[in-house]
Amino acid sequence: MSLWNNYGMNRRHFMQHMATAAATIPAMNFLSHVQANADVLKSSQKSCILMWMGGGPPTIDIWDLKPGSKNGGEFKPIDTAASGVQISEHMPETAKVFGDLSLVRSMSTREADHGRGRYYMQTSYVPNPTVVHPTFGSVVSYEIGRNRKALEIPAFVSVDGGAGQAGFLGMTHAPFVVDNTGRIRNEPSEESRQRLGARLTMLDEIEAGFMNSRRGELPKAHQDVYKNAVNLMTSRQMVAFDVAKSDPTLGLEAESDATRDAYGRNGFGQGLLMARRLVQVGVPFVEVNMGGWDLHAGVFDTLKNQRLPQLDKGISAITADLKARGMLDNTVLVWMGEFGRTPRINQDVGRDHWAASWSVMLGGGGLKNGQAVGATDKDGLQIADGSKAYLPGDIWATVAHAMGIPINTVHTSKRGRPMKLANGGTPIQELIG
Amino acid sequence: MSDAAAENEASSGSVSGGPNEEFVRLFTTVQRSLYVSILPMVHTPADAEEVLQETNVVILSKWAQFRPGTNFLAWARAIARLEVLRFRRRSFHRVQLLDDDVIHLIAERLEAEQVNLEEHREALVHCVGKLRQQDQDLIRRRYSPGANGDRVAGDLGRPANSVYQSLGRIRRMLVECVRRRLAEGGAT
Amino acid sequence: MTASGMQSDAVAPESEELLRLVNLWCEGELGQEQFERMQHLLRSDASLLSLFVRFMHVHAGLVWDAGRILVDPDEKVGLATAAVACVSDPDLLFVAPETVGRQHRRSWVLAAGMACSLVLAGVVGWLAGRQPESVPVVAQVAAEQSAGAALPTQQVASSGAVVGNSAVSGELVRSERAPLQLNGLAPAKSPAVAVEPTSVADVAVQQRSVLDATVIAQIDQLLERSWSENGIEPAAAASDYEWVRRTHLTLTGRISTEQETAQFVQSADALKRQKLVSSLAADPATAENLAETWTHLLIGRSNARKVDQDSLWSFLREQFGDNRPWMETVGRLISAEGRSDRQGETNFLLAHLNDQATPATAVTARLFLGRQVHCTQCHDHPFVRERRQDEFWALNAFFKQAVREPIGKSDAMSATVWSLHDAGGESMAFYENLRGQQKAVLPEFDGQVVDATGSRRAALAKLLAEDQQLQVSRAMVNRVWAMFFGYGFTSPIDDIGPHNPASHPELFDYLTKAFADSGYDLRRLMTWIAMSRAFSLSSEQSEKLATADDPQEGGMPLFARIYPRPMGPEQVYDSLRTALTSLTGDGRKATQSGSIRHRRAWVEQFVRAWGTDDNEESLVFGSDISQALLMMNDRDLEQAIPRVAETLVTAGAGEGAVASASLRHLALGTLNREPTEQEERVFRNRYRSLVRSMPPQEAMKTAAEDMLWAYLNSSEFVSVH
Repeated sequence: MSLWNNYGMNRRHFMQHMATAAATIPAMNFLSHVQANADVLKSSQKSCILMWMGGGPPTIDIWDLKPGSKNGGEFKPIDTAASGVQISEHMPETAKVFGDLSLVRSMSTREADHGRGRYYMQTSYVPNPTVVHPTFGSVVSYEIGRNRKALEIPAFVSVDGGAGQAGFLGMTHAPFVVDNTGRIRNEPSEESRQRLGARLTMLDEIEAGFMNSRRGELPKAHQDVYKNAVNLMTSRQMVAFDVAKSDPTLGLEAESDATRDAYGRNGFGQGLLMARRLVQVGVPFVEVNMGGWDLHAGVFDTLKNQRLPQLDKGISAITADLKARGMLDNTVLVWMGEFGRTPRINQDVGRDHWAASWSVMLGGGGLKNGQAVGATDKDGLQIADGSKAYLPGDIWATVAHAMGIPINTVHTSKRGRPMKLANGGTPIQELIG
Repeated sequence: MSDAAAENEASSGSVSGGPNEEFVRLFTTVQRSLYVSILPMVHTPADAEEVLQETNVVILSKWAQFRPGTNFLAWARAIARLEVLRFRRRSFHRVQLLDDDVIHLIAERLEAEQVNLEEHREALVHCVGKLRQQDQDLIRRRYSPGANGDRVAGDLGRPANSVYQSLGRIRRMLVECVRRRLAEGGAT
Repeated sequence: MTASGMQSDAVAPESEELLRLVNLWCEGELGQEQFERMQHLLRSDASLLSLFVRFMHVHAGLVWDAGRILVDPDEKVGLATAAVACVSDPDLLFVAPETVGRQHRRSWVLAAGMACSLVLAGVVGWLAGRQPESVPVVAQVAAEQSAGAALPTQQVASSGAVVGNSAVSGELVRSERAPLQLNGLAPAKSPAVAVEPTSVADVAVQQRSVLDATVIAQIDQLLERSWSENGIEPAAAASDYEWVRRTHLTLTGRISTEQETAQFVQSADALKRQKLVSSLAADPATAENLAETWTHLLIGRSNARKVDQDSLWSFLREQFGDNRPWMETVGRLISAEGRSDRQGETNFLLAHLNDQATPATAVTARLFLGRQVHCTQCHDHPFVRERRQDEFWALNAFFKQAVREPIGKSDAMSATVWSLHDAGGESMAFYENLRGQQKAVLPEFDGQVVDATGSRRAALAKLLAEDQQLQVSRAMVNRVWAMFFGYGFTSPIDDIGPHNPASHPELFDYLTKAFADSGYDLRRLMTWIAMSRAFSLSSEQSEKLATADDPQEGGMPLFARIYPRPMGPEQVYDSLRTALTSLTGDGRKATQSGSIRHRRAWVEQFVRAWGTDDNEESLVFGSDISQALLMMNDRDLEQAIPRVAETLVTAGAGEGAVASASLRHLALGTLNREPTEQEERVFRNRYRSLVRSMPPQEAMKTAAEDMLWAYLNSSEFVSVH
C-alpha cells in the first residue's frame, strides 16, 4: 500500500540492467560508452516542443505576407532556404533553417475568443460544458510518457504556461509548470528528505482512511500527484531544468554563454533551451510560452522591435541545435497561438482576432519539411480556392503520426464517451509524405 | 550533486586506472546474489536497492583491495553487511527494520548456508514453472513492478487477507520446492 | 536445536508461525507486536533463521526478477508460458504476445545506460573523497491510471473562500452572536435584517417581506421533489464534525479551529447549527472572505493592470461587513468615480478600461448579469439569438465616457494612483462587423436606449436595478449557491441563458426572486442556503449516488450529496494558518489571519496572467505537482511544524497519555475530527521506532511533527467535503 515502497521499482530495474550492460563494456571506457549509448537511446525517443504564442500572433505579418494588398502591412517577404517559401523580412535567421520547417497556411478554426481559441487549438475540441478535454500535451503524457519508465520528471512540462487541463486523462497528466529560469519552487531541505520515507508511510495510512470513506476521486488523484512530486524531487533529471548545470551521465552539459546568446537572452529563448534539455532527458512534450501577441494596436512597431527578433532567434536556434545533435528528426516542432489576426488593419494600426484564415508552423519530427501547405487568397481574408482548410485536429494528428501515436487511438471520458485522438483529425498528407 | 559529479569527473582521472575487465565481470555477475542477500536484512525492496546501490559504490571504489582468485561474492557480501548496518543506523526512523543483532544473525546464517544463488535461481525458475496456472498468475501480478499484495487484491476484487494467505501458501510451496530441487541437484 | 541445514524446518513447532509472520512482513502488513515476535523467533532458533533465509531468498529472487522470472529471454523454458499468461491477462501492460519480449528488452537496453551512469557518478564522487550518500533514487513508473478529479477551475475559483485581515477594519462593529431568528418560527420578531434603501446612483431597491423559514422550506421541498423524481435517496446527514468544518470553510474561508470544533460537537444545544450560521454569516472573517473572492473576480489575482487591490478590497470589505444590498454594491462599482486609493470601487473599472473598455463590458456582463458576451464582441452569438454583436457594443457604449488618468505622475507607466471620471461628449460605441463595415450604437440595456446627458454609467446602474428579469439577482444567487456546493444551477455559473438549461429552474427562479425581494440581502441568502437540508448532507456517498448524482462530467447536479472538491489557494493558506496557530493554543490568533499581503504573495506563485485583451488569468492550483511540493517542503511550514509539536509534547506528562492526547489535538486541529484507529497505530509505530534511538520526549516530538506533516499533506486536509 505504501506510496514509498513502490518507488524502489525503477532503481531495481536500473541496477539489474546495469549488471547486464556492464558485462559487455570494457571498464576503461565506461563513461564514454554510457554517454554514447545514452545519446543513441535518447535520439530514438520521440518528443514534441510546442511554441505557444499566447494572445494570437499576426501570422499575416510573419508567415503569409500579402505584398501589394491593402492588408499587407509594412513588412516585406524574403526568400528562405526552402525554395518557393517566403516569410517576413524580420525573420532572417529562421529563413536560413527553413529547409527543416514547414507552414500550414490554411488554418480555419472558428474560435476567435482567447479562452475558447486556446482550448480549441490545444485540445482539438471546442469547449463543451459536459466534458473537459485534455490538451495535446496531456495526451502525449498519457500515451507516451507513462511508458517511458526511465523518466522521473513529469512527461508534460510547460514553461511559463498556465493550467492547461488534462481533463478526463487525470491530473497526473496535467502540465508541470515552471518559469523560464527553471527554478523549481519548494525543493526539499536535507532534513525533510531524510524523513520523507517515514512521513509518506504515515500519509499513506491517512489517505487509505479517506479513500475508504468514499469521497470520490480526489484522494486517488492526490496520491498520484504526490507520487509524481516525490519522483521529481528525488530525481537527478532535475538538472535539465537548470541551463547552468551539467550532468554528463545524462548527456547534459552546462550551457555556454554562446549557446544561451544564440537562443536569445529572453524568456522565450531560454525556455526553448530548457526545452531542448528536457527533451534530452526524455520528456516527450514541452510547451514554451511566448506572450504579448494580442496586438490590437501598434502591431508593426511591436513586431519589428520586440516580438520578431526574439522569435527569430529562438526558432532558428532550437532548429539548428536539435539538428546538430541529431535530435531534430525525432523532435516535432509546433508553433501556434489561439488564432491569427485580422487581415484588415484597424484604426489603431493594430490587428484584431481572426480565426478564419491563418498559419501554423511545424518542423523537425521527420516530417517532409521545407514547404508551405495550403494558401490564403490575395488579401488573406479566406482560404484560397482549391486549398484545403485545416483544423487543429489535423495539426495534432500530424504530430501524433510523427510521434508514433496511432491515429485511431480513442480515449474514453469519465462518463464512458469515446473521444477520438485529435478529434478525429487527419495527418496532413503533404507533410507526412 | 550533479555539478559536483561533473567536476569530479575530471579529477577521477588522477586515480590511476579503474577497475579492470575481470573485476567488472565479477561485479556484474554477483548483482542478483547480492540483492538476494541484502533483502532479507532490510525488508523492503526499495531499501534493498538503496543498500545495493551504496554497496556497489563501495565495491567499485575499493576494487584495488580485492584479491583476484578469492571469493568475490563473499567479499562483496561483507561489504553489503556493513552497508546494511550503516543504513540501519541512518534510517532509525523507519518502522520495522530489524535490530542489529538480528541482522548479524542473518548475515552469519547466509554465510553458513553457502547457497549457490545461481542454482537457486534455476531452481526457482523451475518451481515457478510447476505452479498451477492461477498461482503463477498471482505471483506474476504480485511481483510485477510497482505492485503489492494490497493492490493485487484490489485488482482481483478479492479481500486483501485472502490474497496474503494465498501468497503465503504459494511462497511456502516455492520454498519447499526449491529446497528439494537444490537437494536433488546436489550442491556443487 | 542447532543448525541442521536445510531439512529442519518441519521440526520446529514455531515454523508455521514464523512463515505466517514473514509472509505478512513481506506485504508490509505486520503489526509492531508481531514484528517483535518475529525478531524473537529469529533470535531463538537457528532452524527458524534458516527457514527465514530460504523464504526471503525466494521472495528476493522474485522481486529482483520482477515476477518475470519466466519471461527472461535467456530462459527458453519459460518464455512461452509467460507469453500465454500475459495474453490471458487483460490487465497486463502488454497487449499482444509478440510484444512481450520486445518491450522487455527495450526497457532493458534503455535502462542500461542510465544505470551505469548512476553508479559511475557515485564512484566518481567517492573517489574524490566525498561521501556519495545521495546517489539519487531513480524512481517510479508513470502512473497508469487516468484518475483525477477534473473540477472546472471556474467553480473552484468561485468557491475560493478567503479570510482577510480584520486589522484593516478595526472600527467595524462586530455583530452580536445572537441565535438566528428564523422569522417563520418566531413571528413576533421583525424581519431578520432591516435593509436601508440605498441612495447611491439612484438605485432603488424595493424590499418585500420574505420569511427565512419559508425560503428554507421551499429550497428543501423543491430539492426533495427532484430527488424523488430522479429516484434517488439523498446522502445521510453530515456529522457535526463534517458540518462544522464545511460551514466554516464555506463562509469564513478557513477550517474550524480545534477549539471551535470541540465546542460545537460537545454542545447539546438543539439550535446550535442555526446559531453558528447566524454568527458566522455576520462574522468579519466572512466579510473578508467575500471581499477577497470578489477582489479576484473583479480585477484578478495577478493584478496585471496595477490598480489598487487593497483599496478595492477595503471597499468590498465594508460593503459585505455592513451587509449592504448587493445591488448597491454593483451600482457603486459600475458608476464609481474618484481616486483609486480613496474610492476603492473605482479600481474595478480602472482595471478594465483598456482596449476600448471591451474587458469592462465583458466582465460586467459576466459577473453581474451571468452572461458571456465576450465573443459577441466580434460576431453574433451562434445560437442565442438575443445576443447580437450590436448588443455587446450597446453595453460597451455605457463605458465610453469613462476615463482613466494617472494622478501625481504624468506618465502612465510609473503611476500608482489613478483617477476615474467621466469625460463629457461622445457616448456612442463604434465597431466594425466581420465584413469590416463601420457601425455605431447608443448605450442600450434591456431595450432602453440612454441618450440623455449625465453619467451613462449611473444610468446603467439604475437600469440594472429596474431590470424586470432580475439578472443581477440571478447571477448572484447562482454564484452563492456554487460557493456552498461547488456547482451552481448552470455550468459554467456565469453563462446563464436559454441556451444553457438550469438544473433546477423552479428553485433558481424562486431564489432569484426571494433574493431580490429581500433587498439583495446577501447575509440572508447565505443563511438560507447554509440552513438547507442539502447543505447538511454528508459528502460520503453511496455507490448509487456517486453515479446517479455526479455533475463532474457535465451531468446535472442534483445536490443530493456534498461534492468533495479541492480548496482554493486562499482556503489552503488560511486553513494552514488556522491549524498551526490553533494547535499552539492561540485560537484567537487563528482568526486574525496574518497579513493579506503575505497570503497574496503565497498565492501569486500559482497565478499567471495571459496578457490578453480580456485580462484573463489562469490559476495553477489544485492537485498538481507544484502544490504538492509546496505542501511537502514549504520553509514556513517546516519551521511551524516543530513549534506545534513542541507545544503539544511539553503540555503532557505520561507517555501513553501524551501520545493519545497529542494525536487527538493534531486530528481535531487539522482535519476537524477524531483520529482513526489506523492513525493511532501508525503514530504509535512511529514513536516506537524512534524511541529506540532517542529519548522518549524527543521521539514523541518527532513523531508528532511527522504526524502533523502527514495530516497537512493529506487529501482530506485540502478538500472541502
